[in-house]
Amino acid sequence: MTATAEAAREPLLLIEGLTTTFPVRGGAVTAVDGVDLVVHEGECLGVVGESGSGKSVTFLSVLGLVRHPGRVSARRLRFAGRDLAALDEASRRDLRGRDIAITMQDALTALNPAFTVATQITEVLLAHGRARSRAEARRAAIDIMRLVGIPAPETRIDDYPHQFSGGMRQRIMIATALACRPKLLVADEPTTALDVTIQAQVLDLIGDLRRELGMSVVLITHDLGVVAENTDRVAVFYAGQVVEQGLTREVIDRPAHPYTRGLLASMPSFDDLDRPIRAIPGQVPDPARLPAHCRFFDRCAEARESCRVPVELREIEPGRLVRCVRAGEVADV
Amino acid sequence: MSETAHAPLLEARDLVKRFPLPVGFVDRMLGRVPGEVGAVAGVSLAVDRGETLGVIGESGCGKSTLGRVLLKLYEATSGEIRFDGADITAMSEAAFRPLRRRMQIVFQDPYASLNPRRTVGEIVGLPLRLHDGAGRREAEERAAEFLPHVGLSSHHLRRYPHQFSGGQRQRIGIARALILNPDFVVCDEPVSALDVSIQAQILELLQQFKAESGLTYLFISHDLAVVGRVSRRIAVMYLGQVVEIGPRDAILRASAHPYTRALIAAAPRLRPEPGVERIHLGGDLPSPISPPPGCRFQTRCPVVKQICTRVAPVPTVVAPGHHVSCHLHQGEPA
Amino acid sequence: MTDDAATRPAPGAVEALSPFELGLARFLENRLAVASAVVVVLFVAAAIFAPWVAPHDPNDADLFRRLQPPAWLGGEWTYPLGCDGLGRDIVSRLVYGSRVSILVGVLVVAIATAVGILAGLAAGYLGGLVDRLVSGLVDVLLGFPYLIFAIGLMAMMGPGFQNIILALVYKEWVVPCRIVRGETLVARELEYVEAARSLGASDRHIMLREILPNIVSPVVVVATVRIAQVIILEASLSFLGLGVQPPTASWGSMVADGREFLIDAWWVSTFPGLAILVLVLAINIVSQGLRDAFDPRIQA
Repeated sequence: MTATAEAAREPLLLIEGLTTTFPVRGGAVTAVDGVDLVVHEGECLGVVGESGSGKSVTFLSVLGLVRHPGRVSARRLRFAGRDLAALDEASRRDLRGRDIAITMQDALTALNPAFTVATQITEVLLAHGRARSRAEARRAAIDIMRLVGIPAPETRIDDYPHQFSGGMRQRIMIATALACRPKLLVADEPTTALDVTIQAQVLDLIGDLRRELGMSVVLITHDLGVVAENTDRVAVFYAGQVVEQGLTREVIDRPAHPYTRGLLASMPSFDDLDRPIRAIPGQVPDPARLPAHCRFFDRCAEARESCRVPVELREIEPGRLVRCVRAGEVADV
Repeated sequence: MSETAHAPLLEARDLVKRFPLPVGFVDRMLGRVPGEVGAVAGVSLAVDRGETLGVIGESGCGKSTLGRVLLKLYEATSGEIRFDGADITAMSEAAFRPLRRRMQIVFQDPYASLNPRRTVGEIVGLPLRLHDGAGRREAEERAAEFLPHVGLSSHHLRRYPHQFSGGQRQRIGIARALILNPDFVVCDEPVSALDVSIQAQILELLQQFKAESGLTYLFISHDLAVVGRVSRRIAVMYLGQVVEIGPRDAILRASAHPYTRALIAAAPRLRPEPGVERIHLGGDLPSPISPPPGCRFQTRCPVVKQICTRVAPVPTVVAPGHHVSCHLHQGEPA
Repeated sequence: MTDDAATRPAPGAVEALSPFELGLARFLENRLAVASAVVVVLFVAAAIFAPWVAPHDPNDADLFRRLQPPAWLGGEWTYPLGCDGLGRDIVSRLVYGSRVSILVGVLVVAIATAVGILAGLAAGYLGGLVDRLVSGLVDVLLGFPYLIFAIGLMAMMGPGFQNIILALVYKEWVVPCRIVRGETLVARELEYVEAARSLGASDRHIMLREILPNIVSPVVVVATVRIAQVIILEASLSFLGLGVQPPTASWGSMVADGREFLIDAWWVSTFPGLAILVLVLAINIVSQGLRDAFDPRIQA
């Protein structure tokens, strides 16, 4: 394989063996445990998990946003062909906002309430050298606001975050994130705090922008419906590990991991409103006291004694990974 | 006699709740009258004994306020509430108090709805002390007996809320609401703050109680699929009004109101549904302080007509039990 | 269906500890605060057991011992810190004086806090006319500078122990009242209060049994700081001759007594001044430690 062909196949973001721990009284909490993830150019990867699954911390770690005393380590961490671990803090700061951008769940607290939208967007542009003067930055900011669908951006650019509705604030956050036309947008629960109709607008917007700007997107959410409608591939997180990964359509239609199956079975669906929903018994294990064996063991309907072993993420089909010793045997629902 | 057996358990007629806006001292001295937010703007509905009536809508539609007004946690500004045939609207708190044991509420936030300084036993036992005159020990014993019914154990009795997970706290809240075996329970977004895998557990628990004790629920939520799963009938609210109400399948599969249609089209689905196109609602929610004259949905309605900006629509019949407030539907007034 | 993990404590849970016990444990980890608490306890013990701790009668005057220096500067070890202008033992007067300071500090703050809590709860929860009355009163009282107000009252009522307490309480209750009112306004909107109302709990129950336990924390912390403040105020009043009257010992009056001798017999003013300093400092450190330990925002 020639060098160029290989480079073309290298994913945009490569995460291998990412582990993030936080020391607590009497031990450590492993929020992210040996996570492997790949994001290809131009795709939308869904990252699904419940609270405490490590889905957000993973990307905060990749971006270097995990503060002391949290500790991040990884076997390989590459973005656009560059080794992230080898970067110093200044280079990493450059990367953040310019090449990789992240939006948070709660736009009201993520945006600085003391500054106008104009200040917040132009600051990003000037800091990353995407504009040479304040006037140029302001023009670019108005363009982006228009791009994300904020009406009358020329006037609204001088408003403060609290003067916008929730949906608009989310758009502003997206605008700030996209100001420098990053290659990768990590959207952390972009719609959880929004109404359904606004949620639909924001998700459609992200999809449109992805196509227009040729951007890759990581969509972090707990809502499988959102994932089903908006992503190409999906990674399911549980207790700090990736337990299933693959093409979204396949994972939803033929889930291989009992947790994924349990999640799907416990969600009421529009297609069959009277289908009984079956809850997953028990609760997520204590992150400070994780077992060495399969972490879903206590709640798994298919668990056997043979499951009491550390489980690796295995490829059961090309592009389809599952962390379950019984993945091959157990029939799909 | 047989009429009362089929009479609805709870009825609301033209219920209105307005909140005064805070007014500065100077403005008050200048005689400026405080503006008002019309959170509930004329709601009429009935909940039959033993059913679950779902109420869906987005933020600001007034569904949570409605639930609280029905329980007299807020004083209604005008309108009528009848519970089991009796008009409770104007009842004083003292007269109404004994009825409270029959009408309860489960709150959305499992973290804020439990007093952090009280033990589980005290929280769950409080209704017994207030209504059954139970002493501290008796209340604790009965609370201990009741805990297994919500999936907890009696040795959680002396623990404090912060020692429990969100799902467990919600179980404590449910225990508190149900320990006196009420007739009517308002469930205000009971699972919205919980993880997906726990939501199903709590829904199962609520269904179980309903089946065993013949409870009647008013189930408020913004999650269409959840509401669809538990409700027999659904009411759709927009900006303080019920725009459509009817049997569950009619609302979710054959809705008449453009807003309901948009809501349903916007809900994320696991599998693409043929024939369901995203309906784009332009604009933002208008302010509940000064709604436009005519239909309140006019600013975002994709099929708005002239008449919608002048005349407010009234409920008309689409099918038996299915009413809609929209000028697109010319039918018998409901 | 049963929550299978129901018998296990929730993730990260500690053993069945009340919020109070958790805070106490955190406080005990703060060594400086604990050391300061020990100092405070020593002062209090000295005050309580004064007759046994003090080597002499504090009012025993003997002009032969007038302005006798401390033991290491030429005096006697039976009068370790020397004697004042009337030949009275400074150590004994310090010990008995601590009674006045501590008693005034604790009593004033205790009474003021009780009054302030009730007023603040009523104003915050009941609102309306009650709130306007209480807040109006609070605003008016806040306008007066503390010491001048106290001096004015003392001048009207005359000196004496009871009058000091009254004069200081008159303004002191405003401090806890404002805190309690603010916290009550917040707590009133919380869902567990709504839950209590939905169960038909009376206003009195809600104020005292639901809201109060949750807001008591900041009130206690502020109360400890205020004790230190009041001690200084009492000392100031006594220094000005408006406090407890001679021959009763008070640290403030002791400092005043020594004014004339600052150069020749500095020990007469300095030791009572030091006593005030040390006690107030210790109390402030303890209250800081309490705040850090019990602040609900700094949860584990």
